[in-house]
Amino acid sequence: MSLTVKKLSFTYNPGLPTEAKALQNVSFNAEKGEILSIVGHTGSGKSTLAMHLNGLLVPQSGEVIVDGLKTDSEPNNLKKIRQCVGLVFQYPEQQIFAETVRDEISFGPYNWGKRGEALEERVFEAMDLIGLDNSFASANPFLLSGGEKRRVAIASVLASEPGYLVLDEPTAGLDFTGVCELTLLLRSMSEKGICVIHITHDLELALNISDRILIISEGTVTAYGTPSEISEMLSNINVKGLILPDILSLSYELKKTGSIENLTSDPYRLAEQIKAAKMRCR
Amino acid sequence: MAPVSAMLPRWRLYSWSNNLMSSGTTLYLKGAEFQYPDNEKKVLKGIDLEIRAGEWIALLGPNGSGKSTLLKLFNALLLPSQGCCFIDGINTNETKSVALIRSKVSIVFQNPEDQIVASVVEEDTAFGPENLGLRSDEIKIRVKEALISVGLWEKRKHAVSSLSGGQKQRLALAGVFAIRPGSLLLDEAMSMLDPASRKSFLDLIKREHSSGCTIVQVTHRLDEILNSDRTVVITDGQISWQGKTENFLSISENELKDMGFAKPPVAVLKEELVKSGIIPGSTRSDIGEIRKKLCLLQ
Repeated sequence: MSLTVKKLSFTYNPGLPTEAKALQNVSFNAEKGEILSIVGHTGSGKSTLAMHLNGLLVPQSGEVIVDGLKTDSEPNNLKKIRQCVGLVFQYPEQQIFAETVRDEISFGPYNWGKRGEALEERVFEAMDLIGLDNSFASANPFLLSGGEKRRVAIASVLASEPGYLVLDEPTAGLDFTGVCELTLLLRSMSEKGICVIHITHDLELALNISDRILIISEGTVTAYGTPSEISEMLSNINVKGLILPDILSLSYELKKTGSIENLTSDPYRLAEQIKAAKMRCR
Repeated sequence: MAPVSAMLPRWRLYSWSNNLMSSGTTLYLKGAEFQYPDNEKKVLKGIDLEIRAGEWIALLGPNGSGKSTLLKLFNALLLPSQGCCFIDGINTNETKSVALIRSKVSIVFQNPEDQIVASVVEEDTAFGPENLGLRSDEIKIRVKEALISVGLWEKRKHAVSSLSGGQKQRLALAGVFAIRPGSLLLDEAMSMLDPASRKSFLDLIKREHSSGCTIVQVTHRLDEILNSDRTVVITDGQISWQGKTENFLSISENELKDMGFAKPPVAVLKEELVKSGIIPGSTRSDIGEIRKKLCLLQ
């Protein structure tokens, strides 16, 4: 069971003067239980890609296959796929519309046909997963803090029990405490077997929290691999809109000159290596 | 008067020669409190803060601590419910001075859509100077210089809707540059930018600052405040910490975490290297400086 994207290409307004290629020949695979970060500059095609993952857009060429179902075949498939792939847009709190947290979160499962106790159960499960205790159920979502609103918005997607959760820039605008809480949350969801697809332009964050990273630039995949593989690769290629995190770029320079052995984006590990190197010089 | 340095951006030289604009604005809050109507909770609880002309202040604090409200006091979008706010000695509650205050103090908001008003790039940039009542040849010059400085001159005839998020954020900045304010207030103005655009945006701010503009920068990311002179932390409507930015960055990682901040990796590295005597304690938390010091060692 996995989400597979094969040679996906997409062009906005094909044949018109405003034609814009958004994705070209993108392929990757996301497994249940992992965090895959998709990193790219503004305008690289990240959000277009996100919309392909649950069939909001269908491929012009190539294919997207979710648990064996293609997004561009029957409408029946699409319904199953949308239930299976939850999409959390940028600033999801802007989509909040209901008067209580309970109503907000039950909107999804209600539309998938849940009623009564089954519906109630879904709501509380989702709240539990996202770390909102039951007292929030009757709260007005508009009066919650920024971080809490975002959690309500994510819970309302989780309530439909998706196997895949796609989040577009989930940490944008959150303070540090909010970012920490959210990254812990993504980890705990992946440990519960959900596949978390995390779209961001923060390479440093991606290197720290992901199992695998996909880097796209101007609609094409420029690198795909584990954080340590990506660290190696990035030192050799120049990706538009992305800057190597300071520590990683310094460690790359020092490695090139032979002063240290391992690439790292962790300041403590870099400092350790520099200390060790200095001792050898003496 | 400070010497007119060759570092000054072109438009600042221009304004020096034309209307002898002062270089930076002084911002001053005395016992300022603020409370939104229909809400019992005070957002600001007695803030005393003096920001000198040409100073770069990093204003930090958790979501909902009152940072944005404080910025709005400075350009008279809001008036303090208690205490007072002075801009270059002018009290912001003097209604007749509001236009003058707004020409001295400009805000760039988090979401550029909030302050883009026209549908064509150059028309949007002209909006500010037009409202200052300037002559049309002066407006043209200001628009050109502002758009060149943010790198959007080639796109001056483009529709605003065709710009990317980062370009819109730079357009919002151009609109503010064209007003030539003595101080620039940035309310998480870089939050929607990718790292490369963030860096070039920050370079524009550095340039403004070096030409004497007062900067007040609200952000959550400590790696953006490395160039600021002073850091002010607001917690729950009060100033909970203030001092030199370098001193703020040398607070230990755990303590900063308790305050709700992530210590920038560069500051961690600097501290570790200083602790073991590899680089001198005077080194700034800046990757370029650390790199230089390390190269000297090799």
